[in-house]
This record gives sequence, structure tokens and C-alpha cells, in this order.
Amino acid sequence: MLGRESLFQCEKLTKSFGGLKAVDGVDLSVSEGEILGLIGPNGAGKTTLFNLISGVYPVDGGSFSLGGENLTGLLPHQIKKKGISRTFQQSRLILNLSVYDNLFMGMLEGFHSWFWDSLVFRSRFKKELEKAIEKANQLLNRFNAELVGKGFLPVSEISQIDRRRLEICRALATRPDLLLLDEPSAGMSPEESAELMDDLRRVRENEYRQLSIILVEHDMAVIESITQRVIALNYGKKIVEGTFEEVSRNEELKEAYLGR
Amino acid sequence: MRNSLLRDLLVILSCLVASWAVFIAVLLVTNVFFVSVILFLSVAVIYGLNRWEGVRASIVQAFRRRGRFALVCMIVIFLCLPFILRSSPYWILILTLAILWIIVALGINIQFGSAGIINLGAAAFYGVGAYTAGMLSTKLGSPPLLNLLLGAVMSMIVGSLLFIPLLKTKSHYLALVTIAFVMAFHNLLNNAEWLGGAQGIVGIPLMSVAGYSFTQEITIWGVKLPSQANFYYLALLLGGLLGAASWRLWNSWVGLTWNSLNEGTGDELSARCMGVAVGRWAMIAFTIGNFYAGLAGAFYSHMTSYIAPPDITFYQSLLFLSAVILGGIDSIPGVCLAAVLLVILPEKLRAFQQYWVIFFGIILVLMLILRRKGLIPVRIRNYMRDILPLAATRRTPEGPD
Repeated sequence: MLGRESLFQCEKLTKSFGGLKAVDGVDLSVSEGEILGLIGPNGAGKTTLFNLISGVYPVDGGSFSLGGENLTGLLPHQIKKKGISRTFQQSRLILNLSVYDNLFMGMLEGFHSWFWDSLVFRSRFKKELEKAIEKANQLLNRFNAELVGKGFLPVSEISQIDRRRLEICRALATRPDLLLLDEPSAGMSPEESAELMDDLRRVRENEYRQLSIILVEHDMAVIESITQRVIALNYGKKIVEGTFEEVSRNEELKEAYLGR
Repeated sequence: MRNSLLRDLLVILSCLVASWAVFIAVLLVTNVFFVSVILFLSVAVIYGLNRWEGVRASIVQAFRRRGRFALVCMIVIFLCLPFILRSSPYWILILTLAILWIIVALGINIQFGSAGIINLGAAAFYGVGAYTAGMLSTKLGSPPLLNLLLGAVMSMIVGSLLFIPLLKTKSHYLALVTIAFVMAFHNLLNNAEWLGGAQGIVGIPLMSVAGYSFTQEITIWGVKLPSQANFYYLALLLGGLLGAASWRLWNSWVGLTWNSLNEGTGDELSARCMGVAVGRWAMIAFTIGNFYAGLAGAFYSHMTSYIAPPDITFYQSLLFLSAVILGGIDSIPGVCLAAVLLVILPEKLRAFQQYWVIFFGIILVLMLILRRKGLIPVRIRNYMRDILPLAATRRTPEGPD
């Protein structure tokens, strides 16, 4: 942790909705290759913070930067280009499309065969398609080898946990430097959460070894086993930062979750 | 192996011949009772075959394995239709109109079916193409073939007027804007004297290509075909090209990008977060759809020699959109079938003309209740790959039927 370059930084990020300060002067930094946990009771501002960082909401105050480059004010598709990808709390996969189609959505930017190749020189498009399928299979294989055979099935026909995996794959397909995971274990049973923890460890294999992750979670078992550092929010403010052990002993955080 | 090939070809041929025979019979038989009997029997047969697993499986397999052969057969049948119908030039004309409607429906399918843009002003873009062709040919003597292109381009340009509402408003509000647009356009046509006013434009020269006028009868292999066949073949050519273009676009990254920004079935927010320039692709889909509508409209002008405001109404727009909904949203074969039915059924039921709207309303409601996916539901996109290394058994997404 010490000595590693800071990849991503927020300074005094603020977002208000009317009179309510959803995110209030939050400072945050993530080093290269670090997994940061983000916890806090419901309404603490975690998802709002993600929405700010991914460009979905405009920032009211403060700034954030990736690799030294200021990203404040950029739109979601521009932020994606800069290297930040995310998943969402409710699954935003397209159920009617195939597994491959959902994955390809993450790869669209890298494709070169558009109108001319689709309409006329289809052989060029086919080559790009084959490469895309190969890459998709590599990503899917990492989490669940069975998914590779289900590439052309509609997403509505695969299990919930496979859908979660697919969402993570889709975010990985965009080749991000920073990955934001928003409550990946939401709605899962303890067995499924355990599987998910294995999956999250497998995310950073091979070419994604230096991938930084910010993980929002309510399941403390996942936070404890996966993250290297934890930040806790409450009412939009950062209340404690440290390792999981340090944070879990914090009185203010316990009060926030359990009441006085 | 050879047995299977022969069997597949025979299955395909018999299915195609049977269905087209029914189609021709429905067209030519004038007695409404007999037509209803034929329709009822064919629906019953189709339903029965659908339930009989063995037969259904072999039919589906045959078409899947020998898809190219089936396509070639269909093209041959399309080419032969004027020969079969040469004693009824009226029906050749109606079929040509059906092809024009297919072209418009394909355009609306790109806008609504693929990209989720509700365009209830489709008739306006059809009208722009028609009026452009009419005005250019009557005032400037512009050649009809060129007018097809110019009408389509004009449609695209007029469509760009709606770019701001397209980008800034949500789907349902955009629908209202397009309704307002077609009604305003209709009013403009009625009141603008320079556009012919309520009388419209008359005396539009009929289609002609490089001096060859479409009013002549044609003789192919010693068989004389009525002059309507000229229009039919040109429309078939244009429809075929535009249909193939639609199909290829759907089976490509373009089609996938459009699906991703479809608020109904896709998800615009995650598309944005994945780098899709949502606004730009919405404009592209909207513009291409308008091109299709404009081209069809221009052709219509040069076919009927007359275009007037009653041809361009909100009701007309609804019919175009319902072709997409009834046929199957984002399903090209479904949309084509629905467009043909929407042209032929009202003609066939002319006796009940005043009840057509009620009948149509009932069909629409029944379809939405019983078969929401449409006549031919959209299938999973497999990018026209000839060899599927991983065969999926069911390729239509599940969900309420």
C-alpha cells in the first residue's frame, strides 16, 4: 500500500439534491492494484458517489481525477473512455439479448466494422466477430466455464449468479483501469455470496492484475475477505478509513449501523 | 445424407408452394365466405402443425439447414407472382403497395423496433417524400428515378427538424411531439396553395426509367404482363435491397448498438456508461428510418400520379407503427408479414369497409393479449453465422407470449 502510486483521487466531492447533501466533501483515493471497500448504512451516499464518479450525476463541488487527469464534468461515455467502468445495483443486463450481445456492448468502442463492413464487406465484419467471440469466451471462462456454451442464449435463461458474473464480465470487457462494483452480492444467499467472493478474486487474474476496484457492499464477509482498505460513509460524509479491523471497531460506524 | 438433403428440399418446396397457393387463392377468390373458409382452414393447419412436434421439428430443421435454398425459392416466387396474377392487374398494384408499406415498416422498425424511438409521425415523412417527388416532377420536370432519391433525402432533412426533441425528451414525450408534427404537416399541406392545397398535386408523371415508360405492357418469354408489373418489379428490387440492408444492419454492431439504447428492452444508462454515444445513434436510426419512408412515399407518387393531404394523416402513421407492433418488434420477417396483411386485408374486406377500423382495433387488442411477441417474434441475434459451434436449442427469448 505504501509507496504505490495513487491512481484515482476524489477531493471534497459534493452533491446536493435540493437541501439534502447526499455526498458531503468526500476525499478518497485508490492506488493502482488496490481493492477499496466502501461501506455505510443505506442512504449514506455510496451509490451517489458512484454516480458522480461515473459521470451520471454532475458534480456540485470538488473534483476527481484518474491517473492525474481531471475527470470532473465529463459525461458517462467520456469517463468510460478514460478508464472507469461500473456495475449497477439492480441488474442492467438486457434480458432479451444473448449473453454474447450483452458482452459485446462493452466492446463496441473497440470495433471497427460499422456500416460499410456490415452492409458490403461482410467478411471483414465476420473476422472481427470471431475475435470478439473469442475474447468474450475468455472472460466468461474465467468465472464459469459453462457460460461459454451458453453464449447465444438469452440472458433471461441463465441463473442469477451467472447474470452477476456476466455484468462483471461486461464491465471488464471495457478494459478499465478502475472498476466500480455496486453491491454485487445484493439478493444472494450465503452460498452464492461465497461463490461471488471467489469470482471477485478471479477478476484480477492475468491482464487485470493491476486493476483497481472500489467495492460497495453490505455483506461484511465479502468486504473482510476481498478488500485491502475500507472507507465508511454516513450521511454523505466519510467517517472512518482504514483496514477492515480498524474500521469495524469504530464507534461512530457501529452507531450508524446499529443505532445508539 | 443425400436422403436428408432431398427430404429437406421437398419439405421446403411443399411448405412454400402450399402457403403461396393459399395466398393467391385468398387474393383471387371473391366470395367472402370461401375466403373466410380458406383462411380458417390454413390457420387451423398451421396451428395443428405447430403442435405436432415431429412435423414441426422437421420443417424448422429443413428451413434452417437449407436457408439459402428457401431464400432462392422465395425470390423465384416473388418474380413469378405477376405471371400468376396477370389477369388481375389490380392485385399486382396492391402487392406493389404492400411492398411500399414493407419499406416504410422496415424504416419504422429501425426507429422503434431496434432503437426504441416512438415515431408516430411516420406518415409525415412518407408524405415529404411523396410531395417532393410530386413537386419536383410537375414543376421542374425532374426524372422519376432521381425523385425517389431526392424524396428520401428530403425526408431525412425534414427529420432533422425533430433532432432536438429526439435528444432532449423521453420516449413518451417524443411520441407526442411526433403526433403534433404529423398533424401540423397535414394542416400545412391542406392550406399551402403552393403545395396544391386540399386538392394536392395532380398529373404527376408515372414512373419511367431512362425513357422507358412504366405505362407499357411488358412481354416476358411470350407472356404479356399488365403495365402494373413494371411498378411491381421496380418496387421488388428496391424493397429487396432495402430489406437486405435492414437485415444486415440488424445482424451487426449497428443493430446491437441500437438495441442497447432502446429504453424498452435495452438500457440507455448502462449503454452510456459503456461508451455508446446514445444521442448520435438515436439520430442515425431516426434518419435512416425516415429515408426508407421518404423513398416509399416518392415511389407512391409516381405510381398513383396523384398525392393529396388525406393520404397523410395520424391514422396512417398509426398503421405503419402497428405493422411493427403486430409483426414483432425488431423482427424483420414479422414486420414484412404484418405490413402485407395490413394492406391486403382491408382490400379483401372492402365489403365491410366501415367496419375495418373496428376489426383492426379488435385484432390489435387480441394480438397484444394473446401473442404480445408479434406474428414472428424476434430471434436471438447470431450475426448470420453459418456454422454455430454451440447450438442453442431455443433461440427465441422467453417471456410472456
